Amino acid sequence: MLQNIAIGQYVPGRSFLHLADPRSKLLFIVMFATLVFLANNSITYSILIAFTVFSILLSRLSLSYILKSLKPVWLLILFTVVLHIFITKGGTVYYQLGSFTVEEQGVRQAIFISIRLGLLILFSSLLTLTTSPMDLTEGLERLLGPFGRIGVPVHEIALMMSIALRFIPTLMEETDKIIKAQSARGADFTSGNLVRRAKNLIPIAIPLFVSAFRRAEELAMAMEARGYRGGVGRTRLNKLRFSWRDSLIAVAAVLLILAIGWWRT
Amino acid sequence: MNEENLLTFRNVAFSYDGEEGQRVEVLKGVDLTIAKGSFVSVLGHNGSGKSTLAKLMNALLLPESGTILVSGADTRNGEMIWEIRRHVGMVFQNPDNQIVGATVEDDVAFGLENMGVDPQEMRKRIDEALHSVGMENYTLAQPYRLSGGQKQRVAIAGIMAMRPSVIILDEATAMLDPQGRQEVMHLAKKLNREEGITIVNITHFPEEAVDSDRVIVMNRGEVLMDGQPGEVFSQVERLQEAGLDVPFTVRVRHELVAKGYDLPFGLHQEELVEHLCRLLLTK
Amino acid sequence: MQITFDQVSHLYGKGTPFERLALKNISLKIPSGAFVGIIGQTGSGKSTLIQHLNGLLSPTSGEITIGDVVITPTKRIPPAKRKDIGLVFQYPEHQLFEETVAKDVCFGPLNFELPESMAESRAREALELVGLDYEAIKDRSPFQLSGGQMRRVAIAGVLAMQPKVLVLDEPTAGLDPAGRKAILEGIHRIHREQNLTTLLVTHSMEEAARYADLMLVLAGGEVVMQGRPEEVFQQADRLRDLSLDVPQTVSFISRINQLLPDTARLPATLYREEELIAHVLKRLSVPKEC
Repeated sequence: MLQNIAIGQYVPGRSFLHLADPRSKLLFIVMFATLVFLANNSITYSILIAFTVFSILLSRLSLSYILKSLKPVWLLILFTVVLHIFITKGGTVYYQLGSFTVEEQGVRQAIFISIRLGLLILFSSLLTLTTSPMDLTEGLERLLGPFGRIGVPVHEIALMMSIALRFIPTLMEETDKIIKAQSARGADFTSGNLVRRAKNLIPIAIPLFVSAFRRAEELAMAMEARGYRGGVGRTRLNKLRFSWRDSLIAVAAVLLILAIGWWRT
Repeated sequence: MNEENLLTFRNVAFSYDGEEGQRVEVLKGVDLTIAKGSFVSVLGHNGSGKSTLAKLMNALLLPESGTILVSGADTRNGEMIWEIRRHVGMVFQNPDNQIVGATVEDDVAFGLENMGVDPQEMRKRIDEALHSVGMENYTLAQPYRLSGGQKQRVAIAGIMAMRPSVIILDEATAMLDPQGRQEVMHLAKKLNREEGITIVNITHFPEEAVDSDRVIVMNRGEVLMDGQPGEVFSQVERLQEAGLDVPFTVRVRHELVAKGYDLPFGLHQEELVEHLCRLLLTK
Repeated sequence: MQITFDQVSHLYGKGTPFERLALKNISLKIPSGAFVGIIGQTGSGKSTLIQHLNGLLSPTSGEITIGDVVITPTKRIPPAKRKDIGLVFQYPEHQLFEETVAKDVCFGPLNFELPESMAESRAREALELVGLDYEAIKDRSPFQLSGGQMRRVAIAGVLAMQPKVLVLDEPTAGLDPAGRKAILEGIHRIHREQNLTTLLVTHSMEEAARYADLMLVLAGGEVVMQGRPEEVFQQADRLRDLSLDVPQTVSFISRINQLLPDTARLPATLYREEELIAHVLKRLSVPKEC
């Protein structure tokens, strides 16, 4: 059933990472990404790997589930590895076949790059796995809040995101229903070539569009009836609160920065 | 400001451009007042103008001619529009298309956020509002997991948090199952009785109108009847001509009276049962 | 077509955290030509049940027989037989998509590989069955019609497949009393004229009482009552336990019977309003015998 598909990949839970404030998680990720690019030797990379493993343990999610997030980028990592092995030269020559050589720098770069990519992806999926899309939106809105002063419609963007999130399950359900209704009229969505299949989607797409427009219109009316007049003068229900967890995250961030700064060459 | 009459319509007309360029008159010369604290039902078939009436009440639409006053404020007065919308809450037909928030509390907060209420005060009002509609255990629930009746109660909580004077239910029960319909009607009656909220229930279910203080029947953009439920429902033929139904009890009595039997008018089954038994037994 | 369910269960989302048993060991028998009222609260399994009838869902266990077709967890309904079961979903107007009414109604027949000329004559017939003027409406866009008309067009889209079994999920939801009555009277007429077996899923006991000659009451994925309407309505307490109401006629009769002596009681078979009124009038006009 379509409506049972989870939005994003959020897995509800009550671990340390789940309960931390999305703002600190978001900030931490930005900092972590910077550190990943600053790391440049075995020690610094080991520190970052160790820290990632520690975070995964903290999330209390199953390792296999988290590693799944690497699946879509597996090819990308493989591609960069091969590229570096072929192109980057320097240092000891490990292997030679005619004019083709595998040299120390190439292998080194290949390993480091794949570690970088892997760490970044693991860490950001940790964020989406432990933070509900709503909290994520809210966190982003708060963090980007200051940009509102220079004319970025932060408020509107956040509202749009949260309305989209709110309507995903409703539209999923609707899609499910329309597919069933058209199937009951003998529509076939599974056979034929690509062009035919695309054409077969029309009986689903049009009703969905019509309904989405109707919903949008009614929602706009309902929002207006409740006094919506854009972001000006609006307040927000304050739900995000920093806790001791966020202080710990801040401490971890400082320690990590110091460690990488000390050991990087 | 007139304290007694919360809503006043004076000779209100409204029309829009039809498909073929002609004017379609939705409302013509509507005069009515709705008293503070009352429970008013507006009956009418689809297309009778009853939904337009609702949207005129909180300035979602503006009258083409005539005047609409909400607690004395003209809905055409642009400065008052936000105050009017705060006073006049609307619950729409489709529960799915009026919930904005991704959680119940987010949704209840929406109106307050628009008003610029302080977050701490907001928290307090949300809790109160959810309590008043009996949804306090669903604060963080996702709306799509709720039943239709629960969704409408959340919509009502969103209005209650804004401290309104009147709630307009614009066919708010039309898409609900009998249980959901009952939940919403019970709640509307409770808010009317206990919190003094004026209720305008726009509906095509005659049963919902039986216990109201007043029934207004709309037909072809005009007020066809306006009075207490007893006065209105006793005119069975006129209602049926307007494409409307009457409550079961009224229907049965009407058929029997038409055949020459003497039964006093009543809106509730108990009364009819009693009189009919007497008649059956004395035969 | 006769329909039987033998120990049918349906499990949603098997093996996921969302696993839910929507139908539990359902057994039922619907004779050919019956008008069946299916009653139950939201979530009682009504929708799941009817989706089994034309292969939209397969049973997790058990066996369904429709006419001479047998459906089991491994054996699906043959595609050509699916058109025999017409399924009208809730708010069916939401499935309209074609440019013109005629094209939309032809969608089903064409999917089942009927030649175009035949599909058109089917569309004409179906639209006239639901009380619409074919010539006047065929070239109009379905999206420009009124709500009630759109619903009729959608129902015609199912009727055009000339099903032998017609299943309707809340066909009157959201309509006003006049619209509700028109749709139901129309369906009842078609049921008789076309010799259909009709399954009407409804929340309204009044609607079930008026049209059904057989009732199925579902609760928690099980059939908790089945039988003739008067048999079901007599168990008023049981219905109330399931948060279901009896029709007003039934509560009216039981109230009257409480006040009348045993010999003068009204029969419980008078759950249809006209019959009740006619009976009362007869009683009033005949001088008392004793």
